[in-house]
Amino acid sequence: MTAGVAVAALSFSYAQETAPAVDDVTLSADPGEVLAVVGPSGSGKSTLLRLVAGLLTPSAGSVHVAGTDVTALSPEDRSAAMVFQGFALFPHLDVAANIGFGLKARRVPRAVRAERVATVAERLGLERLLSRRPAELSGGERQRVALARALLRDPAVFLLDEPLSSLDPVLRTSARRQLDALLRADGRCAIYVTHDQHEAMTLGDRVAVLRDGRLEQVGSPQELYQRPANTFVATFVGTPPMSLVPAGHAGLPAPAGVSMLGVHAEDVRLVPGEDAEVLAVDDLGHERMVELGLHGETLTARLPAGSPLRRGDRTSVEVLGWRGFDAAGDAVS
Amino acid sequence: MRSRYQRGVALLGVPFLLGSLALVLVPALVTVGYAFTSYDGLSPATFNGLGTFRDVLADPELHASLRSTGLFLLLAVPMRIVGGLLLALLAHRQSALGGATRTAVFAPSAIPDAATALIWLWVVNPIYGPLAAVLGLVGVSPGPLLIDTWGARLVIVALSVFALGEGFLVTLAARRELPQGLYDAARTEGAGPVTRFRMVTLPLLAPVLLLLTARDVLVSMQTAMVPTLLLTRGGPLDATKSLPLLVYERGFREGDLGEGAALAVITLGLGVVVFAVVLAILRQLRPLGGESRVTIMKERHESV
Repeated sequence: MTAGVAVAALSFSYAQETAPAVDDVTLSADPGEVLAVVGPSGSGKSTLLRLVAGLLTPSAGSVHVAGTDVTALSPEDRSAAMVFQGFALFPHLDVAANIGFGLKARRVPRAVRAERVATVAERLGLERLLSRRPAELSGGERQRVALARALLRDPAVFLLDEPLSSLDPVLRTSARRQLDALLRADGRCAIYVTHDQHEAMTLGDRVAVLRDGRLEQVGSPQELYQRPANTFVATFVGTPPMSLVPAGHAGLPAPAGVSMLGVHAEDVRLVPGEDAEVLAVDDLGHERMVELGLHGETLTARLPAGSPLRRGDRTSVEVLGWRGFDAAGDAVS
Repeated sequence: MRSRYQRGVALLGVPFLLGSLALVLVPALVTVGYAFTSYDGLSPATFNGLGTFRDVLADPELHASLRSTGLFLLLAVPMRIVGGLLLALLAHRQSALGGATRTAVFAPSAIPDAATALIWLWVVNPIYGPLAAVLGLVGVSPGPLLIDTWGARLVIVALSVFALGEGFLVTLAARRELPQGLYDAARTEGAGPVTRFRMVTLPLLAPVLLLLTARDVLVSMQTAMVPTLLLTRGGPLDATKSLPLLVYERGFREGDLGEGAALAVITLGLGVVVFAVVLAILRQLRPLGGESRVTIMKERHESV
């Protein structure tokens, strides 16, 4: 067993629902690794995190933290610190008391507590806010308090539930960088849950994709992007994600056993012709994303900034690379 | 410029305002006026200045009443508040039993005062009452409780503690407002059930509990008055003669409306003092009771 976090054959159903929220998931994160868990809403990613934290009890399977089976332990006895969506700061306590909550709950002497709170507050730039209450803080400050509270405990694993989702977009990038640096600084392991695949790809050493409680694929961001295991992952991951078109459609390749082709925007080249119609052009400044209609199918192409195409223009496409999927949607290697 | 709608709403308030004026404010002002007179309700009231107050303040019956009121409040109010809190936390936890529990806890508060008195008269009856029967099983005889000073006091306290339904409901509602996320956070931070109660539930409910306590100091006295009158008439030896009961006896049974009014004004004054103290404490807790209440609501909505 690794020293990080491992869940094995983990399942969980909410009482009032028939379909399991987490269905036979096996995953692990090594020390020093950030595992991003991503999926659409209702895919079971937050449930998975709460199972690791111990806030929910699995109906089957096991949870190991730092090599110890903690499946039967309550959250207060696990070495897992969690940053909640919306941060869950205690409104009646000031920043110092919020950060030091865990130490106080564990009856750590006041002097030790104050010193450790001061250290972690300095690390997150919260020194001047220690006597404020959560209601007097901005969103970014609250997020840092929640992080500080988790960091202070010196846990074996960090669990982060959408820690950036309640921040405004301007703040999100800088907060993500800071988070990235913090999570990697001490070589701890972290499970990072988000619905945003871009966030997952940029923060995660590895990314796990969930759908309907099942693990669709886990791998490095590059693996997920280049070699998606199925059409769901192919269309969920990447900005823009792969376009899916039937094999053999409008002169595209049709290898045996392949029913769908997944094509990245950068693998589409435009050639003179009349096959395809330009449906939309997204000018991103440094490049252009062009949506093409190809006899009823759509395909996205990534073009240089200067390309002169306009909506309604006609052209033809050549596909330089693709990934094949069978009729069930699974990748054909 | 007021809109038609606003005028309509104001119009709807008129009957209530008239009612309050006629049934509360005017009688209250008249009472304050009578407090400065000698008045027996038969011959015209004669102005007595502070003389009436001087008389009642020197009256040993007032001192006895203050003592029994104080003892009653010291026993009943904490038990009512703590009892309501514990039952609310229990009802919150056991949501499956929620409906039945809520009804069972609230029911005694909905029973008319006179009926409550009759029930307790039967409960503590030394010959055929259930209390004597139950205690008899372990070989203890409670005896005739209502003719013993402490026995009678405890019966009145017990009767009032059973009627804690309103405080229970308010506490339960306040507990339900607290977001589950805070408890999840407390648990992952290593707080067990006792620590969660001490560090999360209690401080967040404190403003509500404090307000309930202030209200209870006034209300518990009033609600216990009618059953006390029927059960003990304030006896034995004035052991259960609370201030409202003394006001009633002096004013209506003894017919001394002037002194009754003065006693009522003294009772009101004490109530105002209690409330002022509690409000001062609440103001100290403002960051907790005011803004953070809003934060809690906000976080609650965001987490949904």
